[in-house]
Amino acid sequence: MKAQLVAFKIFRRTITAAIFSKTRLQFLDLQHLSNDPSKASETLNRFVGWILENFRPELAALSVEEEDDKPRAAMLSGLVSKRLLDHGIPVWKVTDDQLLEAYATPALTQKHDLRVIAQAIWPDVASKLPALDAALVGLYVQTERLLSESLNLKADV
Amino acid sequence: MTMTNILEQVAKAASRFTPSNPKEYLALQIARKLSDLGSVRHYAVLFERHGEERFLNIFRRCAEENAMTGEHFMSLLKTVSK
Repeated sequence: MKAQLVAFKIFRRTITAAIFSKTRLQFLDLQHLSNDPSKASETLNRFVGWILENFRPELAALSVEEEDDKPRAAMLSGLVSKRLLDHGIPVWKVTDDQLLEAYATPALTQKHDLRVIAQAIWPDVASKLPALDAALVGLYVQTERLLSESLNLKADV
Repeated sequence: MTMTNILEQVAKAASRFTPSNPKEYLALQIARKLSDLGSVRHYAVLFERHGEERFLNIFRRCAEENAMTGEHFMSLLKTVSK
């Protein structure tokens, strides 16, 4: 499995990023964004550029909102997606519904519960609460890849 | 919301399994892919005992043998742990 993955979750005024090596969370950060769209785009580009330069991820995961009432977050997510693809980094898109389904059984119904789970999984960084949303996206993708790739290997038992 | 609905929701929340670390999350996804979510707590305990490599290997064998079921997984696990 390719080692480094970066996961992004973008809100109206914040971009959060999580770096994973296999299923291990290595780094977590967030950057606040200006209300001014051009300044926000500039900050976002700088932040994504810094992540790419320092971690050189081979794959990216991006949380996407399905709700139509968040056009700004959707626009900013589109910018990040384009930036990653321009760098030749494949982007795996993950919806909130997929996370609600994946992180519990029976499936969760409230997004708030996802953060409670994230705080339990990564208690050491529980204070970086919004950034944990990106960590949930990263763990989801890395685990799916681990299981899918393990099916392509020959069993050794 | 009726009293029955409230009680159903409370019961659902009490029986809900949520992972508290990445290993438990992986155990949950393996149980899900084997359509055995009812036994997810058992998977989490066994995962802790046997480790990721063995769990993934057995999961792989289930796929190779075209038997992606919890029953087959547990039977293979029992065999290799003897």
